[in-house]
Amino acid sequence: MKSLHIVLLVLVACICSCSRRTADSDVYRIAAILPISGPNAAQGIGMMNSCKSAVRDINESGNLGNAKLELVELDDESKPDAAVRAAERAGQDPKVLAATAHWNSGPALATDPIFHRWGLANLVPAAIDSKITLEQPGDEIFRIDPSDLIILRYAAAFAGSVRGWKRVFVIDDNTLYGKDLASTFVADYSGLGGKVVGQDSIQVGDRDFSALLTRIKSVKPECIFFGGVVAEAALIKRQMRTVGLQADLLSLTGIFTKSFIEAAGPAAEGAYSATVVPPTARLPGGQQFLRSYARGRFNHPSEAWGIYGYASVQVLAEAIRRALPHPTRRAVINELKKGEFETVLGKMRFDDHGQTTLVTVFVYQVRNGEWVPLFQADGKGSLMAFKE
Amino acid sequence: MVQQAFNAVVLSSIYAIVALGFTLYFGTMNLVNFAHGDCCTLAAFLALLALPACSAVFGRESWVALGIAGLVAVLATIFLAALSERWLFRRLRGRAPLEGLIVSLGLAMLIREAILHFYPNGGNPQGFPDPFHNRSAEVLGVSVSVIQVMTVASALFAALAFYWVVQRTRFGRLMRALSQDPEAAQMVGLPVDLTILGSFALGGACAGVGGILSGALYGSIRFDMGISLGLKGFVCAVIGGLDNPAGAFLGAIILAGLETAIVGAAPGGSAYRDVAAYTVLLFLMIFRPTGLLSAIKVHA
Repeated sequence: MKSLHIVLLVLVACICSCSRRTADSDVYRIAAILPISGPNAAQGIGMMNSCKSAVRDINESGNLGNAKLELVELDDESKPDAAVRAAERAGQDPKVLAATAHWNSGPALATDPIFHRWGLANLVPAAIDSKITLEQPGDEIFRIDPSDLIILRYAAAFAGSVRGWKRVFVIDDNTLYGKDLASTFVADYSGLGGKVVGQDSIQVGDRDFSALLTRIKSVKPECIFFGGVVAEAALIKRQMRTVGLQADLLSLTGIFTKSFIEAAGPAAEGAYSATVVPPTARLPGGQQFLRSYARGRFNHPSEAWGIYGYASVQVLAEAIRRALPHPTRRAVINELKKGEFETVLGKMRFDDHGQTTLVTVFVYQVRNGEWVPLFQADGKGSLMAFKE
Repeated sequence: MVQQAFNAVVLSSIYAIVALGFTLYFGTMNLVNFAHGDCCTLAAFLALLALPACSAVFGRESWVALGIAGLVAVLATIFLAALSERWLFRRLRGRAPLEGLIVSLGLAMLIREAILHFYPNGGNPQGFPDPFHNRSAEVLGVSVSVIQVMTVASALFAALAFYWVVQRTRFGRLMRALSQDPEAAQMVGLPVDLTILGSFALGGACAGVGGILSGALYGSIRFDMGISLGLKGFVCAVIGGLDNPAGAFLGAIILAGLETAIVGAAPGGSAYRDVAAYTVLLFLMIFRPTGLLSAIKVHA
C-alpha cells in the first residue's frame, strides 16, 4: 500500500512538471532593466510602464500566435553595480530571449560584457555614449536612439549651417562626459568652417560664473556651447544676462528638462538644446503610443523617454516573431541584424555596430517658458524644419 | 577690469556671510561645524516651502511675500541650529574636537539626503525667486543687478551688526570671554551654556541669510549646493583666522579676489579656479596656520 502511494505521488509530480513545461514553452521573456529607483526613477518608471504597455498590446494582437510575451522587470538604480547584477539575472533566466536595458551610459557600458557572455541581445533604449555600441565585445548590443556622436554632428550642423554662427565659445563641466561633448563638438563645428574663439572648463557644483562670462564677453562670441547638465547650464544662462553677455546658449539633452526653465527663470528664453527626446505627442506614431499608455492607467506619466521603451519592445518582439517557431537568443540577434522594423518612432534597421539607422535628433528652443521643437534631423547630416 | 572687481566683491559677500558662521562656532566652542553649508541649503529650501503660503496671503512673488518667507526660513534655521547645539553638540563638549567635526559631517549628510529624498523632485535644481527679477543696469560700463547690490549691502550690514554685537553688547563680551579662555569663563560663573546657544543661533542666522541670498543671487538652488558653499566659507574663515569674525571678511575678499583674478585673467583658468585657491590655502597653513587675523597662539 505504501509503495502504491509513492508510485502515485511520483506519477502526479511527473504530470505536473510535464504540463508546466508545456505551458512555459509558449512564453518568451524580454528583460527590461531600467532605473525604477534612484535619482532617475521618474524616467525609468515611465519607460518601464511603456514597456508593459507594448507587451500588453503585442499579446492582444496575437502576432506571436499561441505564444505569450512576458516582461521581466529589473532595476539598475542608475548604478553600474546594480546594472551588472540585473543583467546577470536576465542572463541566467533561459526564457529571456532579449533585453532592453539602461537609461544611463555608465550602467550600459558596465553590462556590455555581461550580455556578451550570456549571448543575449540588449537593445539599449536611452543611453547615448557611442562607446556602448562601437566598443562592444561582441555583436549583442543594439541601440534604438542616436548616439552622442550623431547628436553632436547635428548640433554642429545647427550652429554652423542653420544659424550660421561664426564665433562659438565652448565650455565643459570638467567631467569625462562634458569634455567628450566639448571636444567632439569643436571638431565637428571647426570642420564646418566655424571658429571656436575660446574653450574653458567649469567645476560641477560651482555657482558663480560671472568672472568667466565677463571674460567671454570680451571675445564677442555669437554662441556658447555647453557640454554639461542642467544645474550649471541654468546658472550660466542666467548669469549671461546678469553680466550683459549677448550670445545664444546651445547644449544637448542634459539641459532638455523643465528644471532648466524653472532654474534659469526668464533668462532661459532662447536657449537651444539638440536632443534625442522626441516631441512625442506630435510624432506620427506618438499618438498611438500615448493612447496605449493611457489604457494602462498608470499613476505616473510616460515621461520624455517612454516612447523609446515602447519602441524597443516592439522591435524585440518582432525579432522573436521572425525567429519562430524555435527562437533562440542567437536567432533573435541575427534577426535584429538583418531585418527592418516598424515602430512608433518610425521604420528602422541596425547598422554593423548595432546603431539604429533612424536618426531621431531634434533641436528645441525655449519659447515662452516651453521647449519648442524647431528642427529635426533629415538622417543625412542636415536639419530640416520640424514637421508635425 | 572694473566689472571683474565688482564680480569679486559680490562673490566675497556671499563667502563672508557663510564664513562668519564658521568663526562663531569655532570661536565659542572650538567646533568646525561642517553642517553649516548644508544649513544654508536648508534655509533656502525652507524659504521655498514657505513661499506658497506667504504668496497666498500677500500676493504671488510680491516683495512682502518673499521677505516674510525668507524671514520664516531664517527663524527656522536659527531654531534648528540652536536645537542642534542643545541636543547634539552640547553632549560633545569637552571631548576631542575631532568628534564634533565628525558629528557635524554626519549632520551635513543627513540634511542633504533629507532634501534629496523628501523635497519634491529634490534631485533637480529648483528655481529660486529673485524679488528684483534679475533686473540689471550699466553703471559706468559695469553691469550691475539689483540683487547683486542687495547681496553686497547685506554683507556690509552683517559686518556692522557683528561689530556692534561683539564690541558693544553684553552677549559680545561673553562671547569674547569664552573665546579667550573658556575655563576661566566657566569658573567665574559666566553663563557659558547660554552664550554658546546664542552663538549657534547667530550661526544659524548667518546660514539662513547666506543660503537665501545665494538662492536669490543665482536664481536657483540644489540639494548639494551647501558642499561648495560650506567649503568655500570654511576656507575664507581659515584664511582670516577661524576665531575672528573680521578675519572671515578678509578671507572672503582674498579668496573671491583670487578666484576672480584667475578665471578672469587667464584663458582656460576657470578649470584651475579651485586648484589655485586651495594651493594658497596650503601655503597659508604652512606659513601662518592660525590665519591672518587670529589671536590663537600655537603652542609647541
